[in-house]
Amino acid sequence: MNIVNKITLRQLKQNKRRTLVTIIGVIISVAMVTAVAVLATSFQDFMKQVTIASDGEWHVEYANTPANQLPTIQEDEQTDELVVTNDLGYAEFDGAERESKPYLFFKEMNEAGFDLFPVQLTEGRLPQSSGEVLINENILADTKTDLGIGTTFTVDIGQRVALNSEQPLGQETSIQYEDKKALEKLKPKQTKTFTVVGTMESTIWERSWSPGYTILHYLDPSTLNEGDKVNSIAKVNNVNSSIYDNAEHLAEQTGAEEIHYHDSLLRYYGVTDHSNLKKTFFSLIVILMLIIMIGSISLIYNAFAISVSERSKHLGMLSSIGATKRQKRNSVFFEGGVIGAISIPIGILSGIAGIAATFMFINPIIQEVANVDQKLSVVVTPISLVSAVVVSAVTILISSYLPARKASKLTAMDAIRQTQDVKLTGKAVKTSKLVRKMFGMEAEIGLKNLKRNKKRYKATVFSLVISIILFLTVSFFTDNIKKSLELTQADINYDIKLSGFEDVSADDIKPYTQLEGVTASTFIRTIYLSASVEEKKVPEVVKDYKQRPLDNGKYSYSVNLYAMDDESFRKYAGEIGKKTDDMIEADQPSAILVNEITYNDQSSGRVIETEGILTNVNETLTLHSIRGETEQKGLGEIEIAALTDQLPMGITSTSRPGGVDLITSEQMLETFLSNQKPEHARNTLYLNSSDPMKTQEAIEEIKPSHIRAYNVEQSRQQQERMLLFMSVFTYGFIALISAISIANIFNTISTSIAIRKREFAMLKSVGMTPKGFNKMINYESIFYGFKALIYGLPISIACMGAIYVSLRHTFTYGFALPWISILYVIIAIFIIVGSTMLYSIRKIKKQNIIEGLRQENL
Amino acid sequence: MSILEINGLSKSYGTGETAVKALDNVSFSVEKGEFIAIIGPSGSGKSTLLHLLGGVDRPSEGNVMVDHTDIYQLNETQLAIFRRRQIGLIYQFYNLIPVLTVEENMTLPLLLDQHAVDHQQFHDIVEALGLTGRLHHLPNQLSGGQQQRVSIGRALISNPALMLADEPTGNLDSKNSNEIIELLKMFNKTLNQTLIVITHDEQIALQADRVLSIEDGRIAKDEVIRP
Repeated sequence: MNIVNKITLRQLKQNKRRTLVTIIGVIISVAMVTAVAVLATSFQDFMKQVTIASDGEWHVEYANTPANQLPTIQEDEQTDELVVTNDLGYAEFDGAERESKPYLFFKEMNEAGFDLFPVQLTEGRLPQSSGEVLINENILADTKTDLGIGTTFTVDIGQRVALNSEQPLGQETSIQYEDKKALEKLKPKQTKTFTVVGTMESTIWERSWSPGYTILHYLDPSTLNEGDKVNSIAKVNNVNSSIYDNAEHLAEQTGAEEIHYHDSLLRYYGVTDHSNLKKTFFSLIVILMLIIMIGSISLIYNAFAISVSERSKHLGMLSSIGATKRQKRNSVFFEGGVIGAISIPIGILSGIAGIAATFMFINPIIQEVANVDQKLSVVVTPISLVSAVVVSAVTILISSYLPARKASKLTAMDAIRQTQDVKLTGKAVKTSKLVRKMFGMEAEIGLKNLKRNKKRYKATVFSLVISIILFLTVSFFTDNIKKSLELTQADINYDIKLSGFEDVSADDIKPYTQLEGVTASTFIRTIYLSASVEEKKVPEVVKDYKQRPLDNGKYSYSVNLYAMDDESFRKYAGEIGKKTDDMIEADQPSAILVNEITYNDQSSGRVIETEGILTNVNETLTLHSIRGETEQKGLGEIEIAALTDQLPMGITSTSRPGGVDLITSEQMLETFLSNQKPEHARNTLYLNSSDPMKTQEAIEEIKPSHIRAYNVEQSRQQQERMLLFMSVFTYGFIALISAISIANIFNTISTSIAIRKREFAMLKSVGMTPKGFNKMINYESIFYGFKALIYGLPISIACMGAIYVSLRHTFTYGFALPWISILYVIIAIFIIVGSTMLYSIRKIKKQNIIEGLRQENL
Repeated sequence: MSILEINGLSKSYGTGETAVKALDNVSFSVEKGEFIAIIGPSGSGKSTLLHLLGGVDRPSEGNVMVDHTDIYQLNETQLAIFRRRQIGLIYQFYNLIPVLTVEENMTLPLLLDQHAVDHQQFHDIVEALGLTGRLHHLPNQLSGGQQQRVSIGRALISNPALMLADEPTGNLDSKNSNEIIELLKMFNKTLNQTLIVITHDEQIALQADRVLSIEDGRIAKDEVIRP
């Protein structure tokens, strides 16, 4: 090893404490960079797993491939596994109990299909030969049909087509009805016999509105005829961007009619450019890494700058006996190399370990929040490792560049003259007279010390400011998300909401009020109607918004008519100060009009509050069913019994110009409808329970698949976990960045005090008392903290304002400063600065004055 | 044959009204093997002169020829290498590197050059300086006189053309001072080493071959004591 490096190494060893703090700082920063890189790859992998679990592990689909061409695709070197699949079609389901689900939907796949697509067997076994099927377990849960395992049944299978256009319809299209008349029919093509060998959970080929229960049949490709066309779906060996060219080539070769790519999966391989995901993801990572780099550069730069100024005398001396510029400069780079060689490997290992530990902690949370079975597991790719090393090395290089240049310029004369780092600025340092008057001479010296040594003072203040800004903005952000969550939950006073599509009848859901633990319930029937309103009753803002009236000069309003069970209605009416007896007994049906609307005007960006309709109590509204503007069917008139701005529990306001909400009772609705059946009606039941989670379980056990249960408690818990999940990362990030800053502050302050040993001894020798000395040091700490806060707080508040403005539409409340966090910051800053000062000064306090005076500057 | 020639050397600090002329048009030459003492009051410019001779500062005007090389025509790297090989500097405060051992401090100029150490020569110098047995000590484990001997050793190790000493005894008691001067004289005689010493001490000055008195940046007297 050359002699200059040897000197560097020994000096590092001699300054153990500073070297250690620097190494720890660099380790933290390398660990963070590694964590970000590993997090990125792990998340990518996690998303792959989740997508595979929900949509299947496939990459390319060749739609309508001629059956005789299947071997071509199968044998292609890029094909790993090939699913052969075919939609057989629909059959009437004799035992169907739901109007919206009258069919059985038959799909067939080969063995690979059962393997690669998410088919969750619940009972029995997978089909293994032609004729064997798996059925959706909901068939057994929703109906009384006996299609149990072992049953053999024969059906006529064919296509669903629209009555008027003969257009084929699939699972994405719900059953087509109008006024109880079917708008579609089934065209049987073949008769088939199947044997049930197992049941499965509902599949990805079945939506909640799909008209057919899925039945999966085993397809033996060898039984296909020459002319048959099937869909072939390939899982590719090695996913890269060549997949597109190869697929097109294969499609051409085999005569497949269409190619579909599994974009939602491919994007996590980074091969598709169809989404901006890659860009967003990448820029997020770059931003995080930049923040880390800024934090660490200020630390490492400081450490090297300190080291160079401590060594300036030796460097100058080396220069006088003939060390070249390069030798001096390289000594700093060598120092960086040594620090890096120790810190980078440890940092990478601890980064990976940290992420592994974090995953262990958050996996249960993420599984709950995202409702998936997949786990985040640590995935380290060569690229993530290399990028972590490169980013860290660049960070160290950048940080050491300026100190190295300074080192190379140190001359023998600097050493001989004993000039040192504390360079007095040319002119006298001015401090306000106020300082001396208010705090005394000690404070003035303290302030002068800071001002005189500007560079280092600035570096310390800078790192403090960065920590303040990071902490405050991130906590502002998470605070706001928390607040939004609380707000969305604030008005909810029910525990469980049961709802469904139009085929869920009142009789379907009312029995749930009898469940154990249910303490109260509200039943609401919602009907979507329209009303035509005379021009004079339409407020100007609504006219502006709707722009033109109907042909008859009236304006069309959309109306949500809510009918509550009689008891709940009485309670609600009581709350808004309306007696219901005369309402319910009157012949003319009446309703309470919620007549206040609040909406965000797109053009002006302002929140506008207005009346929905200019009307009065006892006036009437003419209601129609909705079927296009021309073809409205009158339902009758409803009297307005009261006006209010208060909605009953569970109902969220429509809040848009040209829309109003009407609240009535079930009984009055019956009178109003008088046996007409409205087109769009939904039934909802709100339950309160003494034990929501237990009631939820009871509901899940008995409810058919088309009734949805929304558990407020559960979703609140989920959101809280989501928040916790975010907090783990954000606060983890802040904690580490702060740790780097603290290391930086520690290095800076303790060194500046060490350098000033002689000065302190001098001050003591001219009679500064220990008390006065403490006072001076305390003031110095206070000035550091004060300055950092003076810059940090306004910048942080500006950042918060920017966040608020850019996310304004998601905030439903005014801008509020996070006072508690600000208070924490102020306290923390003074504690950090103060304790570092105290620590560093401890030794100096004990030192003998003469020793200190004699001390050559280090 | 002159080993050192100085022509019209001037050095000013600062500019305009505040300019201070530390050296004003100084010229002289030194023969190989000469022992010269430079004396003068504080602030007369003797340290500036020494630094200019040693190639650690740069003159405002004039040139310094060491062994027929105009050292201020060299670029910085060349000058550094020149210092390493041709100049031995001895300071009042020793200026040893505290983390290096005595041996490493002494051989530093050679090590900077990645030059092998001539063990015989090294051994001779160590013995002459009386540092045998101290080679693996660190500077702060030595007395002031011993530290100064190490710095003399360091100045000698590369057989420089010039040995320059700035108040080498300024920080030492009289016993140690005498020893240091005796050592310097010995190397001057036995190795025919050219030696220029700045001193306040008239006793030391009188032991030189020639004494230069400097006042206000000029040579006031140039006396040959021993021809």
